[in-house]
Amino acid sequence: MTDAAVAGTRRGGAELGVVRRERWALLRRSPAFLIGLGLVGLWVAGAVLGSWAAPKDPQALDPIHKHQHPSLAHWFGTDVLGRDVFSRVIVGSRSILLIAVGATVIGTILGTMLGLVSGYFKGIVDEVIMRLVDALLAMPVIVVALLAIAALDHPSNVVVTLIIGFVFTPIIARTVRASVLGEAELDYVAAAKLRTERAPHILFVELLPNILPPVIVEFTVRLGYAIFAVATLSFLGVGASPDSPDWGSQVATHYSFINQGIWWSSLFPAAAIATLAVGVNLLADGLVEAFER
Amino acid sequence: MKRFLLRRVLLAFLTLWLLTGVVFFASHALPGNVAQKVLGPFADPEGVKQLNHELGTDRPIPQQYVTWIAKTVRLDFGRSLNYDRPVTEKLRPALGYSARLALFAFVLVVPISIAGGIIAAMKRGRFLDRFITVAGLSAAVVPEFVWGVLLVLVFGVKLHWLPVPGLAPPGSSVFSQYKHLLMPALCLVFVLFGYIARITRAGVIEAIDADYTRTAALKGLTSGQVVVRHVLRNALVPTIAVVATQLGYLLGGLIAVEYLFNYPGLGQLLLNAVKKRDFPLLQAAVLVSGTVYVVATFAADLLYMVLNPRLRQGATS
Repeated sequence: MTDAAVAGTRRGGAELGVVRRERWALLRRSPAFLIGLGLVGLWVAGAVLGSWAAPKDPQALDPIHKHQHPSLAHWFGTDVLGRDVFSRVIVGSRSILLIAVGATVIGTILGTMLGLVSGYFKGIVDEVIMRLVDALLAMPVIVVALLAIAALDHPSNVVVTLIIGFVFTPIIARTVRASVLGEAELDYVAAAKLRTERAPHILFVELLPNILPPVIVEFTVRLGYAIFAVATLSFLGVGASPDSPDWGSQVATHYSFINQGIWWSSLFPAAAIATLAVGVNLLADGLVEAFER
Repeated sequence: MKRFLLRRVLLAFLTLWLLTGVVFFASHALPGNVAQKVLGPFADPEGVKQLNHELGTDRPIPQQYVTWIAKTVRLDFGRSLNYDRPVTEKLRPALGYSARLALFAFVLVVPISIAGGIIAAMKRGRFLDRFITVAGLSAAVVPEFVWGVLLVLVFGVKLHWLPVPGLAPPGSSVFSQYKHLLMPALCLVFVLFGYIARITRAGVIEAIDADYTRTAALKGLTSGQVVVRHVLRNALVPTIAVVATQLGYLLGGLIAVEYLFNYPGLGQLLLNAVKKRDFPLLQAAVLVSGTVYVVATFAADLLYMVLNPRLRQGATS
């Protein structure tokens, strides 16, 4: 569907500008997109400002005032060590956004290159790459990540970023390949071949700009899954250090207190994960709507 | 059709073989040595050497691979380092528990999401359609454990409607067992609903727009007959493929859900294997989950062929 739509919208430069303006107009009128933009913007602001925006020191221990109900002094209450949950939720947006965006960027760059090569050269190269992709897709993202974490000695944020990036690579490669297959048949590619342009030129100068819309959509969709994966790994306690103010590990640490009626220290970080993930998904949904009509 | 079938079988085996390669590579060929990882950084060098010898990890990599794959094919996964029991002994009950949870989730999600997809397609472009599509996909990007926390808070702690542990105490009635399973299963339902509904919606819309549907309507069938006999029969074919794919991905979700609800399934086994660096158990768990995926997608393709006459009659497409 995507490749057909993209192939159908081959246009000159001036007309492309019109298409862009139309897309913006569509996005500005989409309530889903605007809500998504708001939610993501909120958390990006939290991540950028970090402890500067947090009313209290997110790491300050205060064991005497542990498990305090949400109040004016502590909007989201205090956790098992008396730390301010509101401050920790704000600061916690940084690590999940950094890891998820980093992983998605890595996966998109590698996947785009792999997809371009696979879709353009076809034949044996394509067959080999796609069978490898099939094998990798036979394992859920979380399982591959766990396998890699077990194999490496010290999982750090960088390692988790790289792992998720690599896991996303084949998935993105498949989408890009599908777009390239549609594009490579078009006249402008044939013209470039007749001009005896070399393959890298055709791939990156001719094809890449034309498959950019599906790549952007795929990037946003993947970002949602990256947030899903990063949050889940930190909840499972296999990601970065469990002491950092990380949403997933906050939920894991405080989940067992729910039974005693202490709900705030796990509900607020859980809600933070949900709002960020939904926000990114709404952004992606808006982009799909705008790009694919 | 025979050629298609043969190609598909070969592909399934190729995928499985590549999978064993990935699993083996991850646990053997990466830098560092296995026994060191198992025993920790401050282990006695003699002990490390001895464990490497027992595990066979001091031999050359190709030789290790051949021995390992020969055993794996015979379903001999070795002994769990953590439990000191044969891996299969730990694997079998866990697999049973996970299968029960997964099947329960599917029994819940498949009819609900197909109904959701059909309703969305019937109300195409209206508010209900947008709502089902956007809400379904938004629910799908929220991790299972977040759903779990919300469910436990509302139905477990506030309302006291549902028990929190995933596993009922021994000797409970079947009803009580499934009552314990309901919240874990619902976490999976929330994540899976959006995908299945979306594909069903797309399939139904395509079928509604098709010529045969117009013909059926024009020859005077009631709209109910048109939907059941002509639209759904064709629309649900792609849905089957998606359901099968999700079955394979389910293990990823099971890990978090089983951990949250302390349910002794394959997911928890795998997670513990990761945390304890129990490689034989880890390899087996990953291979089992990969095999489930390969078998599920293979079965889906077969079913797809049976349901799609164009493929059945061996057309070249």
